[in-house]
Amino acid sequence: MNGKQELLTIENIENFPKARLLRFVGDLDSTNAENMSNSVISLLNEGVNAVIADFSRLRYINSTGLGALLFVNKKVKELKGTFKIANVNENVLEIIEIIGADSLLEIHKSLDEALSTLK
Amino acid sequence: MSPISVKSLAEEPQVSVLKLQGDIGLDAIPQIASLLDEWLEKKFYHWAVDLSEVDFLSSPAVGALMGLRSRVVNHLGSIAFVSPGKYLIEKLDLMGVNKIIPYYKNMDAYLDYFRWEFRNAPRFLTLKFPAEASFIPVLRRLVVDLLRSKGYLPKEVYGIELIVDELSNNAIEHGSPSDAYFDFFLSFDKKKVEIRVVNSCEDLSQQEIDELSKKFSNPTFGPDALRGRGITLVKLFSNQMTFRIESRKVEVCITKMREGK
Repeated sequence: MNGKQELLTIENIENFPKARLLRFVGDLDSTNAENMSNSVISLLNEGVNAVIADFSRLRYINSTGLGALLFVNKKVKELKGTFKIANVNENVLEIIEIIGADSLLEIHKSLDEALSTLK
Repeated sequence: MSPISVKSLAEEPQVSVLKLQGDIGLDAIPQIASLLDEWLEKKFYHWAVDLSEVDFLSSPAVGALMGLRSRVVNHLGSIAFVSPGKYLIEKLDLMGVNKIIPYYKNMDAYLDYFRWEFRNAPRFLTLKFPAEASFIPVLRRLVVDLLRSKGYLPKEVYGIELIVDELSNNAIEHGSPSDAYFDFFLSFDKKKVEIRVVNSCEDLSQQEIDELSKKFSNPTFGPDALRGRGITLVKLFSNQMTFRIESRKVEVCITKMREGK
């Protein structure tokens, strides 16, 4: 679970200077959701307009984490940007779907698929 | 005194204790077989084999006990070894017996296993927990590890972890515990999990009590809302949720049944 593991690492995406790849590791919960959304807001303030979240190593999410994702999604959309999520595990996807957030979030099966939709 | 005897276990009369002593060689097999036949005829199908005073257990004796296992399993019974010594464990492990018959270090440990498996005895955990979000992952891990250690599957534990998380965060964020702690109770058996989270709070007005009651009874949130999904998730992931709100206390209980149990 959480431990001292960093939840988020941020990488550039080749040929897309205004896009960033966010790799999530571990649990997105009440202990780190606010930091996560602040990190993304900082990116937006720096001019980033496309964010891809790789959830392949995200084990767990709770309602606070989900709220933070929706907040980030809303902020990106307000700036006419894109926020995409890829590689969501079965348990995390169930929580997103059961609450109806899948209709608000752009979810891709794989990172390649998400990257291929970048413009 | 005969090195081989059988008696009922005082704490659980359904259980027969086969006590072996000393060297159990080929010559002991007829006596073991005769005793087992006699007790099995009386429909005793749960067996604890007390090996605490056994110095040597021959292969035919192990074979006889494996045969006992086959007979009791057919009647939904069980067999376990209690208090085998270090050298006996090494021999039994080499023969692969540990993959078929469980060992317990003493009779208390065996009773714990028997009552869980065959009497559906629940386990309990009661904690007074600091009302700080940073502690919640520790509580989640504790509950997850407890349930996993008793055979709960990762998928079902995931939903229970979420319930623990949401109820605890709810107690911290909305309950404003006046004593900086909340109470957490967990009870589980092979069929269900029950969780109760209780937090104290400052004096709630009747209006605040009504608003909280409404939130627990019929949680709602807009599509863009950042908060308010926790209780909805708890309701969706549990089979039953009840609550009690008093002016200085909020208590939420859930029951989660195991599918197919």
